[in-house]
Amino acid sequence: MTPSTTLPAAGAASLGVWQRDLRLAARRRGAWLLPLAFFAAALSLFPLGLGAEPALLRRVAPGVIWACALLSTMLTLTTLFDGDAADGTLEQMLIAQRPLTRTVAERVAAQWLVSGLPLVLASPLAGLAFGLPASALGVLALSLLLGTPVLALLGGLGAALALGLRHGAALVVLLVLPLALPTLVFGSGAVLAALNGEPADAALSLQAALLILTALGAPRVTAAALRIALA
Amino acid sequence: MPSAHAAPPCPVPPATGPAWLQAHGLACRRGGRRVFSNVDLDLHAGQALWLRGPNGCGKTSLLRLLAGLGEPDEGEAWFEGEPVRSLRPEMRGRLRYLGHANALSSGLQLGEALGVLARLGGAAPSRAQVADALVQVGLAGRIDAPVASLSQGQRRRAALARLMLDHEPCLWLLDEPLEALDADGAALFEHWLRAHLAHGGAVLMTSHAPWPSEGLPLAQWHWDDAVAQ
Repeated sequence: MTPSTTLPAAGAASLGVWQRDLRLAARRRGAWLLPLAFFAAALSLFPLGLGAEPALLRRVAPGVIWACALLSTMLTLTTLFDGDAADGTLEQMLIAQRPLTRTVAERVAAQWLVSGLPLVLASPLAGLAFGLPASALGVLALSLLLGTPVLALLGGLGAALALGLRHGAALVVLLVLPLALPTLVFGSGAVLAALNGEPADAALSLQAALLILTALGAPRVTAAALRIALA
Repeated sequence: MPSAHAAPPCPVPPATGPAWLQAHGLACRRGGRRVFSNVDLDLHAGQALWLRGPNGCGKTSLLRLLAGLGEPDEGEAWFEGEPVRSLRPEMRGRLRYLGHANALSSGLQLGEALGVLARLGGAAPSRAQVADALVQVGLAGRIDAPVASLSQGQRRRAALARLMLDHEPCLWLLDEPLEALDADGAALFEHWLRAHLAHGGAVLMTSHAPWPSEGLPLAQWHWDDAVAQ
């Protein structure tokens, strides 16, 4: 008797790339705990460095929380394709029947779910710790919800461009930071507006536009960069 | 012009119809050095070609070019008349490349890793089919074993099990498929190869190991003869 006949569940075995990434993340807790821990640790430096003056902390909170979120997202993205490149899976992705652009989009989406979404969920807590009013907390979470996917897409692009290079991680951050500046400016701008009692709609709309643009463009460019890296 | 099936030392089935895989005038450079040039090749359904040559002569580079990974410096390769660099997705599923690396993600279980590869290749095997393929390669009952717990030889067998998940005849491009396999594994591989060819498939493979047995319909292509510059 072959094992196949004794298996209890004879369901489908095929596994999408995003399902694979989520399973891997579920098994390696560091994948989602590390960015969160980095976010918390980096945030805690500011009250220590600037002094625990509530008015000052509230004033710097939008920029500080956003900058920490940006760096924390980059932290895990710099090596997005390294594992697949090392074990040969990336080669198979390049010549797969499924379009590479789609595979890239799935990988980035899974990466965002693991490392970006926890930051979005934790951001109201961070805002509270910095003394932000309740009205600004929602805007903070919303701006990160729109902004962190952009950071994930750009980080994936940087990881593809720096694939196989020495000191690739530092290079990714340097490559991606200029591209991420608009998101940072509009994101912290939205929270600042909410903090000052002004409407944040304009900045949030611009962030949504950036997200759409990046989502349409980045996976294609990332796929092209991967093809060049493995040629 | 060297041609792959010009004078095969072993009997190969006669070539009928247009070639499945074709290359003309392929050239490759690595780091400014010319690795090979002017490689011509015709491979028909039912044919198997064993590419032999010393280390560094460009066997892997040639297989990668034929698989559509990378752009040749000169020449062009076609699969069923279409350039391999721009194959339609449905044709991709009939060209299988297995490189030095086994493409099994180390954090996964064996069945999951094969499931990922199958999905990438456009197949949707059931768990039972994956288990059957693993039985064929001598890894019965290891479907839930972590990839990281397997030996190199077992991983190679698992990578070859991926090839057992296809239903329609495929063209295999195998880079050192016997690497890390024991004698039993090599004998099994020979058995799969026969079945694959009988089923209408074709194979282009490299190996520096001496072939274990005679009588396989495998044409040997010695690199030095073929790529006379």
